[in-house]
Amino acid sequence: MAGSTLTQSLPPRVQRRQGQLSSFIQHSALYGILLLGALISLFPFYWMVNTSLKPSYMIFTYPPTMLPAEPSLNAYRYVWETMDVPRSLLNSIVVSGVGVAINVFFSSWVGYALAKLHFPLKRVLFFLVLALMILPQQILMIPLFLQVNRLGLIDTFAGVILPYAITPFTIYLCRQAFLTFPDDYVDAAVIDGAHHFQILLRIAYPIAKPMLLTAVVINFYWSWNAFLWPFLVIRSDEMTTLPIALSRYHAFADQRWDAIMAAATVVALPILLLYLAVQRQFVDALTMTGLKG
Amino acid sequence: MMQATGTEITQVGGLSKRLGSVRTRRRGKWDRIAILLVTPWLLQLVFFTLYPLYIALYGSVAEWDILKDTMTYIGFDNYIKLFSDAEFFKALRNSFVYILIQVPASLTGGFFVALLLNSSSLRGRAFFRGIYILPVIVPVVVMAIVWQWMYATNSGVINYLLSFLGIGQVPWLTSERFSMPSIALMKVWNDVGLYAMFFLAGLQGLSKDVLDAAEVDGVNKWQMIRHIKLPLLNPVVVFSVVMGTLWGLNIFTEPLLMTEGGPRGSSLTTLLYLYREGFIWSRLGYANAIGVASTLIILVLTFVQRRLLERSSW
Amino acid sequence: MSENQSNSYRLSRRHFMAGTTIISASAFLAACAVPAPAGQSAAGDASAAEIGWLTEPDVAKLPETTLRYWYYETPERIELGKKQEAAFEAMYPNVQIEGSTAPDAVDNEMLVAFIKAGTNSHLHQSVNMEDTWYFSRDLLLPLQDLPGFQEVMDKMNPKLNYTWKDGNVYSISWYSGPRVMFYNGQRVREAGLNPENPPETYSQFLEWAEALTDETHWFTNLWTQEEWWRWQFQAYAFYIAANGTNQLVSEDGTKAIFNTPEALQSYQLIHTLFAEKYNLTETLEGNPFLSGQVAASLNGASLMGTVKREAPEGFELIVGPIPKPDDSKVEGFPTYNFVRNFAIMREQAQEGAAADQINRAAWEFMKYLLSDEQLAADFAITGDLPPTKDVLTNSLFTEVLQGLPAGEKYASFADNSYIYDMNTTLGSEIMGVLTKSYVDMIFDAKTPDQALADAETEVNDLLAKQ
Repeated sequence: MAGSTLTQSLPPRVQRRQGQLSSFIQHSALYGILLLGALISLFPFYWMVNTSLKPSYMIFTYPPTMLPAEPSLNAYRYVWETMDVPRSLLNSIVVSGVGVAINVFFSSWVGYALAKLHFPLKRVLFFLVLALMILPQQILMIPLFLQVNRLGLIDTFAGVILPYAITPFTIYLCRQAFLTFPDDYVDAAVIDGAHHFQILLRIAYPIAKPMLLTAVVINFYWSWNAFLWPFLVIRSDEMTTLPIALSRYHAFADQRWDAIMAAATVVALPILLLYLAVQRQFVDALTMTGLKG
Repeated sequence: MMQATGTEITQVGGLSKRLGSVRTRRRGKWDRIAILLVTPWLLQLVFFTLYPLYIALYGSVAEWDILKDTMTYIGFDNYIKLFSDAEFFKALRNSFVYILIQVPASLTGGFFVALLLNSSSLRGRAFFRGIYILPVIVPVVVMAIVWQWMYATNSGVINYLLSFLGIGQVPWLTSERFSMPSIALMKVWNDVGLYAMFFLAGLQGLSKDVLDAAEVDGVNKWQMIRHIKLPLLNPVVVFSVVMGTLWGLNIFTEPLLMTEGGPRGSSLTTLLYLYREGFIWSRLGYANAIGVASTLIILVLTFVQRRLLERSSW
Repeated sequence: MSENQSNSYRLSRRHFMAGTTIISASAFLAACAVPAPAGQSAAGDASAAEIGWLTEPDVAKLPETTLRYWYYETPERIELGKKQEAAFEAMYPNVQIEGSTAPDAVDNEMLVAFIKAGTNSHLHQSVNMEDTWYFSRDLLLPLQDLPGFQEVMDKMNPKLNYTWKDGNVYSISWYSGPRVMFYNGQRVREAGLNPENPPETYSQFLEWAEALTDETHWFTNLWTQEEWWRWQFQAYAFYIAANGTNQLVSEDGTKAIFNTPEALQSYQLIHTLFAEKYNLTETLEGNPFLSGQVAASLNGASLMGTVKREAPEGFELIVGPIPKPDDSKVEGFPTYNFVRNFAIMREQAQEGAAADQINRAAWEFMKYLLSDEQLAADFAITGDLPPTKDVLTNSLFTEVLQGLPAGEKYASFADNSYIYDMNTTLGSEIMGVLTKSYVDMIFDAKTPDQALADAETEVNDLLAKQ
């Protein structure tokens, strides 16, 4: 390890000890800072659960207690009665599941075309994909709503899924994925008489599986947490997804913070569990967005 | 005849190498199947992006009647009104305050954490990584609501903890001065983990040869970071800054849930203002104008930023 | 061999294509869970067109009719709504009501989406200034010529209902609540004040404010948020008490007339409350009135129910009027009354007799909901006053009143109360301007007279553009 010149002027034995001491300090500092950061990251979660376990008359007592003196599940019971959790959960699953399936499936078509086929205006189309990736939502919010309204899709699954069914980012990811293997594979298959859909199915998908999996994960995550569009389109309690249900509950339960925190915990749980289950893919997926951008 | 499965590719590949690429031999012909492949996407584009885009532009210079589905051209009145609208400029100003705080802070924090996580002597990297990224995993709604509760002036835990440091009750979300910075602070906490992931991946992808060579040359740690690693990470930095700004200018959920636009519009953002004008007041033409104008501003800013950052040398 | 292979490839491709198309199409259809517009029951044929269902006195004679009703948002009213639906259907088996819970926060824009989809409620719960948006687009059915109309109107407090400039009555009051000052009797006593004598003038009011404010207690908890509808619940009551009228705009709807010396006095009072820190700009958490942090509350009927259910033992609820300026020449204590109405949204999906029968059935259901028994039932579970002239004498109502803390005293203010000014269709927009002026004044961004003057200019501009 490159030490300071001062250290280097000392005898080797002392140098080694110095080295060990400074290394120890560095180590402790490293872990110390990381732990502190981890605590800060976790604190709001802890506070959320802490509040949700307090009996309702204790939520406003000052000073706020770090651990509930009399933990009670009343808040959760109240949430279960007043917020239709199973319904929202189901809706979220349907919207995200169907949405991701449509997205990755059809995006792979476009990605394959952009990566492996030759056709006029290919560059234009690709440019369109890139441009659409940075188009801010502002400009589309109202017209999109009115369009969906005109099609009679307000408050329906189709209305929530379709406008963002196939996303440019996923197309981009798929294209990247399919660029990783040589065109030769495709050419050879064409010579053999295969049609492109078969190539897609038999060659492209298997090779690009990791990337496609990333696309699935990242899309599911994005779709599950989406707020703005579902907020505008979903109008009734029967069709709400988890984030929307939570925001409604937040408005409805007013100052009952124990219930609101319980609802927040319940809403956060599914995606957290999913994350724990496929942690690797999740982190890889999120990182990928940063690298490939 | 060989089936084109993955494992038999090499044999097939050999064949094509002998014949040369089939498709480049057929000059002038293109893959018509591409039409079919891009059709679903194009359909969605036309219905849900291009047509609404046209509506947005035309609608911003027209008077909308949603019941009768008519739009009558009224000229640039909406834009003129927008130009003298104090609320709109307040929203723009708020957005800028937000990104000026949030983007540098979360990027710096993320970079710092990434450096720590990248330490060769660290054990349990996956564990720490997992924790730092937790805020990013849960829906924004959850964190916005939890932080709103933590920020409560009289009964919130943040003010309680601060009281140990002798700091009085800070009106985080209920004062004009602090509402936007408070939201920014929350998002910094939220996004540090995300940027840490980006930078960590970047750091781990740095060519070992370059780093080793530098070390041999006697470069110390600080110089290593400042003059070698950071410049090599420029793509990640550029991407993070540009996307961070883009996301930051588009926030909606946080101000909506935490402050509803804040005391006297101090945490209003353009998206929130657009929502209010369009969906609460039914002033659709005007809302469209807000959408068009703010989109233009954002796009210009994004391009300028990208240019500046890509050219700059660290 | 290659022939066969090519064949199988070609078939494969066709299958693939077919498969994908079928799957996508069915996925689309499956996801399109669009509820079929209701009201498409056995539609009237040509002969039915000659019978004017709208004026049919006996609803039992109607053919099979289906109408839609949204129970009003709160859990108690949803329960009651279901019962009322069942009871009405029992009375008239030929009428089916499709009840559902009103979706959240449905403002004009959203409602149009429902109207177009044919899923909105035929009986619309509205507020008078919001009606204007609907009837200017011909969405509401005028009620004055419907059978039994006069009977219903005769029992309602006329100040709480309105006839529009075109002579039509578009909605009828459903529940009401005058705005009054509530006080915490215990804290009042502790401060050495007399709870039997709540303040009636500004100087008395400020005297109380000073006596009841200290380090950890405040006098009032007026709102400081900016949503357009908030002004009516805070400043309007003071405006009406000071001016003796609810008029904000001239009768012909062309000029703002709210910038009066009395209005200025009311704004100055509110400004003083904030400037002297009798009222914080912070919103206190929890329910500060119940917890004693705040000694007074400018509120309506719902507070009585809240106190009954949630207040700590020994909580004493005192009711007092909205104070008037010291030199006021206004008689009595007029105040604002927040009233929610029922209106009928015309059936859109069908025309002629088929639409008429639905509208007629909706009217009958409305009359049922406005009957004394149903009003009393609603009153009992929510505490919102029936908007009738006999609220203090009808035994069904007094029974509930006696069960509420300070009930009868509170209800006595209903007589001299007004709904929002109806001289213009821009009521909501004007209130938005006023709320902003109020918030500007509270946060000291403008002085009271500046705030009023600027609001006046802005409102005049709005009215001029009409």
